[in-house]
Amino acid sequence: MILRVENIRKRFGEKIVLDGISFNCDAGECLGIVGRSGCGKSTLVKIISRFLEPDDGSIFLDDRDITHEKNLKSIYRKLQMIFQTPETSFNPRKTIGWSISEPIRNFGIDAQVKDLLEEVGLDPILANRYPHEISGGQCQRAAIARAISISPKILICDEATSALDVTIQAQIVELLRNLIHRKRIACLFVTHDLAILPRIANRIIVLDAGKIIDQGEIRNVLDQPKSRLTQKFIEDYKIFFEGKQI
Amino acid sequence: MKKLIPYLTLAGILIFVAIFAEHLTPQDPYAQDLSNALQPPNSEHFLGTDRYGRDVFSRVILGSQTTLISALILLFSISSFGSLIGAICGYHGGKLDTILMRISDVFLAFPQMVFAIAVAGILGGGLLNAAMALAIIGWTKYARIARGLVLTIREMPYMNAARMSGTGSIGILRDYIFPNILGTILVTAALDLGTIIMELAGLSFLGLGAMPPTAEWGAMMNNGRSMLQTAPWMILSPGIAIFISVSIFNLLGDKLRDVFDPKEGI
Repeated sequence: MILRVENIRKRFGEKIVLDGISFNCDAGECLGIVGRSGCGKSTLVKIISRFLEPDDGSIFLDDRDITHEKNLKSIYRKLQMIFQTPETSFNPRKTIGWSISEPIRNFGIDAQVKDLLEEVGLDPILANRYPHEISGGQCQRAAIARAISISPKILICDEATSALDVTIQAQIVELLRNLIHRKRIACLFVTHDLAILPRIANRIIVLDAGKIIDQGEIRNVLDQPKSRLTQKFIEDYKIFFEGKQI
Repeated sequence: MKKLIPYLTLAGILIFVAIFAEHLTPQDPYAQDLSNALQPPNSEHFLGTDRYGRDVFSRVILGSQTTLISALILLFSISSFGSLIGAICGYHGGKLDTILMRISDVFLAFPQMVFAIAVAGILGGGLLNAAMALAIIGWTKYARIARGLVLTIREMPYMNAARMSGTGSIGILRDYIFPNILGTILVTAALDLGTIIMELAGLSFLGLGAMPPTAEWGAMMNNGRSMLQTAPWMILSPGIAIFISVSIFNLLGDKLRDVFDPKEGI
């Protein structure tokens, strides 16, 4: 098992943000994490990627307890992340090529920026451009190139398609799906967009008020939700998007 | 960038004159000739002579070296030191941040010029002491600005991406923080240069800066103060030199701000 999360709890003051979250994710599998705004998705991602400390619980990465690991570099050698806003995930003062080569330099990996750009469907000439000189979709592809440059075991996509238009969303999802299957990467795909999930995720967990209210195979959860809240979440989504197929 | 060129050229000329002042003076700025004292501007003495018969034009040129170079060195010192302290405080936070920022709050509570006069009075006259007096408070402004900028930058996704790319604290400060705060610090420094020139000249005018016979614009104005009615060129010449220099650096600062942050330019 690449990632195992056990009984994670987190509170900010009096507010309980995460209440006993447990799940796991294996190589080549994509686990969708879905829920309304404020349900705790981002906090969970920040805890797994060690930007926040949990109050309780454990995180195992590749069977090693990383919950309180001080050597973050050893964690990031195996865990990479793709952020919501593509442009702001790159240093505005450096070229795209410089940013992609940063993990390669720091982790001493034998990889070429040109090959990575081609792998994510970008022209290698873009390596000389600055983040503001390329489109959001190209920036997100470059972010994927940077994340896969060190062949991580797990990839966390935190609302990675939310800031993109529908066409680009579909292209990015397709690219991620191929990479996950081809490179056997475990993936946590965090989103509030239900329609995207069946195109990439094998399983999903549904969060509400810091708790897992539903989980299982993607089609089972979407077609036969066990929780009334999941059912309502799906209905609300369909009403808002006028019966959009999910 | 095009609109910067005239101001950069003017500032460049000023700095060139300041650096090569000794070679540009038509006469010895320190040579006294009492038989030629208080001569009004004429063909031999372009801006007249002072009470000791020294050539005012040569002293104004040499004064640019004393005033501009000391202002530039002072500005570089306080902006680098203040920015470094502010960036470290903003990035690391915690007790270090609290202690250093409270110290800067204490210094910021004093009116800068009054404090500088008091410190220069205690330390005694001299350009170095005047510069130190201004530096004691001057760095706090840059520390505040840098800290505020870093607090904003620290929350940007690219900072998390940098950490996940295996970049350590020094690399983050070097490649992410300083390049991203440099523009604002440069603009602030450029706008501050005029003020520092005025403050250094002000301290010298009050007798707390450059000491006689050093050619320094503030000290020259002080020297000519009592002769305003009979020999106005003694006070007007260095005064106009201060006015021109301050104007050029203020305009350059404004244009730099337009270039680095068009949203702030009005």
